[in-house]
Amino acid sequence: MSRMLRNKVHVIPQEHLRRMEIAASIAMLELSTGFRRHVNMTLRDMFVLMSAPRHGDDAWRARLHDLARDLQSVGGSFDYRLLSIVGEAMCRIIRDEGLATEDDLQRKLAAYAAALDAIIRIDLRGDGGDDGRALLSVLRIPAPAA
Amino acid sequence: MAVNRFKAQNAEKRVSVVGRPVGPSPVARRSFGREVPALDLRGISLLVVNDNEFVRTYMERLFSIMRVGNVVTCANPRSARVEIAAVQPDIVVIDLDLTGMDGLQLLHDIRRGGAGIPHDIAILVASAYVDREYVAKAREAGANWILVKPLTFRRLYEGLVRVIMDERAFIERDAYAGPDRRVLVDLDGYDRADRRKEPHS
Repeated sequence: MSRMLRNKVHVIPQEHLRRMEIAASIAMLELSTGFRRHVNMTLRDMFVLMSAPRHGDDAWRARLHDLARDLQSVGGSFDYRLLSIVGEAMCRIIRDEGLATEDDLQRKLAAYAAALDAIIRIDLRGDGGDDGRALLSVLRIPAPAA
Repeated sequence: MAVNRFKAQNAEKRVSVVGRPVGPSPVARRSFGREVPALDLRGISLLVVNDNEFVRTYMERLFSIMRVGNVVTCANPRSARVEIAAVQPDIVVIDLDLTGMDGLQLLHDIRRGGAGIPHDIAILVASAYVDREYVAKAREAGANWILVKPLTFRRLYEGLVRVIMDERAFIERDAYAGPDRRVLVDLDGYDRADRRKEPHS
């Protein structure tokens, strides 16, 4: 396996890697602007959708699920782990048919959406430290171990 | 905390039971303790499985900076199955947080020779949650390396280098197909002294 793979690469001076890292850090500035724009647009779509709730409508739930999943995905990849954790929890409750009443669902969805918005507004990166733990505690989402 | 500080202060003073100096612990070396070799990746072809378009674009950008020869992205394991035989990638990168059990099934199918590519192809798995069951399962299913998110340039590059440098023998048994899990891998290659004693599960 690796012999064939190794034959396809060769070692280059470390200077090349350093140059690549510089290029990547410049690209990251641009990409993080794109990331924030993307998250803000997703949140806007989420709030628009939630302003006219149709909990019994599968298409409405599916669309909301897609938006939450999108935030889960980009959050994990861009060092906003908390965004990913809350997005994932939101996906779970959207899928959960067993929530007692529509009020329960609406209350939880509103809380999760507000939390997602807050994470981006106050720039809670990673797991958010103490603030992140407090937020998860308020939302009653178990904090992941790692 | 105090114990950790003590360990850190004495990390370079470790000696074997006969008093011979030994290097840092194998576990420490696995956590990127050494300089990553710089590699020309223009000859490498990658297949990336990630269901988020924005993240796929982001990864393509980083792989382009790394000058990876060919990068094909797929939105899900199903489309990956279609692409994989046509692309014949050298490395498959699977995001487990999003593909979940489907991603594991793809990994399993590749290792069992059911995906139309060599079953010993290098597989890099990405996840934000190293404590999750499916990440352990990815190792059991034969992933070469688990990449912990966030997906920074450095982590992605190291992940690629790890799987390229992975010289472990490929094991194929009823219970397991994948790189030899008894061997710890270093960026310089693998160190036979690190072999664990217990047999394969």
